[in-house]
Amino acid sequence: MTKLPEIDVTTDIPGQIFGKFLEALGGTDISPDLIARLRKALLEDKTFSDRALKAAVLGEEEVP
Amino acid sequence: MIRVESIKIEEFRGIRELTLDLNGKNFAICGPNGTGKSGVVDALEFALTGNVSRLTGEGKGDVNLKQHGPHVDRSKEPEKACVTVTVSIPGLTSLKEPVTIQRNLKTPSTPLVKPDNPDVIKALQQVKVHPEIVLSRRELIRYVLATPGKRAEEVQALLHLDQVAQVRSGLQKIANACEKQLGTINTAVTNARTNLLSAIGGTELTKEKLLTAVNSRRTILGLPPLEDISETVSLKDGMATPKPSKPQPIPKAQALADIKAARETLSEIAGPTTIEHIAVVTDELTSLANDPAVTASVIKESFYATGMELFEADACPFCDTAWDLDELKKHVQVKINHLKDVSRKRAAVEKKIAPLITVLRKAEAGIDTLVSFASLATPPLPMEEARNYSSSCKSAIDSLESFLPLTNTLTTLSNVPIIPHAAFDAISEFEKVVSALPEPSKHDAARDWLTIAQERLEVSRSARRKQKAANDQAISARQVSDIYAKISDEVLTGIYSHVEKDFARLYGFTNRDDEEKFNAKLLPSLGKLGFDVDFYGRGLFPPGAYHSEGHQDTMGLCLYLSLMKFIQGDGFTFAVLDDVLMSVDAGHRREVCALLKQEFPNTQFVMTTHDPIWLRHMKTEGIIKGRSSVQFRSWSVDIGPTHWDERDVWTEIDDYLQGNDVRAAASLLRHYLEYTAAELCHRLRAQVQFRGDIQYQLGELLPPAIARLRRLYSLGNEAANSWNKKEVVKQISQRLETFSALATRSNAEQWQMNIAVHYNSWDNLRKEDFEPVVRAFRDLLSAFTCPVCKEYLRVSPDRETPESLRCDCGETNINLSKKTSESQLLG
Repeated sequence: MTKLPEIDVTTDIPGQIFGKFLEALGGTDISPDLIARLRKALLEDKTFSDRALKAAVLGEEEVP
Repeated sequence: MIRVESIKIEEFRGIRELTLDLNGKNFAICGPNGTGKSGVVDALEFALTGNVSRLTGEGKGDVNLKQHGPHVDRSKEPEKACVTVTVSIPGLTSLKEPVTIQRNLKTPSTPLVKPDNPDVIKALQQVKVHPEIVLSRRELIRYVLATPGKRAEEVQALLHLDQVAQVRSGLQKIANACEKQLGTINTAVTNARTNLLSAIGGTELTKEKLLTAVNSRRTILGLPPLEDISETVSLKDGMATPKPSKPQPIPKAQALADIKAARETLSEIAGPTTIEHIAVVTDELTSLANDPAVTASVIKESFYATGMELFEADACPFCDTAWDLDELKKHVQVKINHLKDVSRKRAAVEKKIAPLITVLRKAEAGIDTLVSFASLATPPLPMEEARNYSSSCKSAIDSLESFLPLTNTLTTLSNVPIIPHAAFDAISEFEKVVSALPEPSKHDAARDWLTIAQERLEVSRSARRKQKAANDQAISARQVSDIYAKISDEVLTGIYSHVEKDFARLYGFTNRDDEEKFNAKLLPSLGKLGFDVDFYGRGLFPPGAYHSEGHQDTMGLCLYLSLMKFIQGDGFTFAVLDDVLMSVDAGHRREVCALLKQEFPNTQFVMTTHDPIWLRHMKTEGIIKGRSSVQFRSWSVDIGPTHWDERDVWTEIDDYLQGNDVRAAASLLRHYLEYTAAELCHRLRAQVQFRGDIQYQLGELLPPAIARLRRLYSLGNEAANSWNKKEVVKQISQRLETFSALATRSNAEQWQMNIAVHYNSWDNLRKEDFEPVVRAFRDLLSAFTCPVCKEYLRVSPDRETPESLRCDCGETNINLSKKTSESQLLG
């Protein structure tokens, strides 16, 4: 039986996805502040509620 | 991760007290249904994770761990329900002795861990992160036969992808909400522009016209003209604050201008051009409404289109069935495309309705302005009828924008040109009040004009700023959501692609006789995980479509193993396979054993089965070695499971005899001999008259086992003689002599000939007569074992020409192959 090539195994698949996502955002014209807020929410605080994401994406001030 | 060395279970589930030594090796638990196997599985899971998945989660109703985890007689004393495991941690070389983990059901989340150094705690945390150590048949079905949505949930939970899905859904909602609010913001911009135009008194808003109007007022006030109107410029720049005297609350000139503008708008609504336009739209709408097929299609099309706008979550808002948003949108778009003709007609009519909506919006805004001025009059004018008309304009706008139902739209259209006289009267009354106001001086009029124009310009600017910010947010939120969806899809596709390949490889291995080229496809997308498997090269189908139940069981196991391997890599060191693979036939079970041995040499498997034949397969294939198994024989609520442990059996028989219960002692001896005789026949490859129902009696098994060992000793003697090994010949002869004497003493070989010594008559013996029988069989069974390791001897290999009679420790290893002329030649 042929062995499969090893791939980067990580128990934190969400962390892997979030990391790549933030990296991809860095290559766009999305504001660095927004990316920093998302990084804090997803990787540091690990808060994924709608409210937390909204604060991260829209910033402190939402359009009324 | 960890390996389990031993487990001690007290007052837990159906077990009163039980200790098993696993020694970090694969271990099998065999026994009929209801003998406590699952209790051991639960205890292992509980000790390592603090949870028993069979007692928690979906569909468990009123069953809970704290109340139903303890033995039924200890349900009020959860602290007495205790499981202690000793584990080794392969990756932790500094650890000199096994780690002990003790949990009781009173405080399941706070185990007692010794030693509790940080490295040990960190290693145990790994188990907490991935507590899916137990695979039961229930889980197999979850992975293999579940609906795609349900399977996705299970696999996502296993891979901890719920957070990934949650973020995707959240970002999608934010993007949708941002886009949704643009409509309201755009309307605010239009209204602000209309009001500003009304102040300027024109129909076109250009910088040049605004500057002209502004500078003419500024000249009157002696202010320098403005050169330009930028974002921050105030039209009132340099204008002194109002005089201390009470200013006129209603700016007469502006109010009159607004009255004029409102009247013009109302005239436009009720005028011939609008009436003619309404007639055209009505005709087209009527023709749509009169064709039931078209109407139905319009309704469908509208439903689909609305749905497309509102899709935002990953599940149906009605029934909560998970869906794949992108797939669903594509699916609905196909339906919309099928209704293209209807869609085109609808779009054409809506385009014609749009100017009517604009003029109604203008009327609403214009009247609202007048109402606002009228409230400043002395006494305030309520303008009730004008207010009502403004509301009816708003309702008409809503109705026309909704488009459906068509009958409502038609009714609304017919009412558009009808303006209540009372509304005109209210405007006229307000006009009288305004006209009666003293004429402002040119100076005051200019001041009022600049003030109002500045106010409206500010409102317009603010609305536009908000519009820009909202637009930017909407674009940015959509971009973030799309990038996240793309990245997560890419990563998940990579993961599933790896798992599907590994799965196909593992499954192909277990079915290499006929499905070696097997392949499979995991089709990921948010909300579901499709799972199709190859069926003999005829295409990909769901596992339940054509494959047998046995094949599906193997698929479930292989999928679990590939997922665990992916998640934990080298950390996959422990798993419990609880009665899985029951539907798999003997041939494929051997392949499964080979798979576990070959592919997972560093994983300790604890396997339960109710089938002793399966247990033998595991032993024969070498996945279970030596004494790494336990065979449960019975269970009672008072005692819990009892198992065939030799020491316990003889003690138990002695206890019965001490109590003069010959019947119980005889029954136990007979059952134990039945179990052991089957094991001996299997190990020694004894010839037994075949029974299709596998229901052998003791008399059909023990005599062949005895005859077989005699024969094997004789063969060993002949072989040793041929090799001229006199010492070996002597040893074997001694063994044979001892064994024959013990066999004769047991009378076992006489059963078929002499009914007087048959085991059926044991019940009727007196204690004194039965005690020698017990001793005889105890000694006889002992003669089947290796004198050092006490393991029953076995023939090796287990198929084809026997080569040796041996034990697992190697102390007994009797060669059965005689010296031949060829071997003589080869030396």
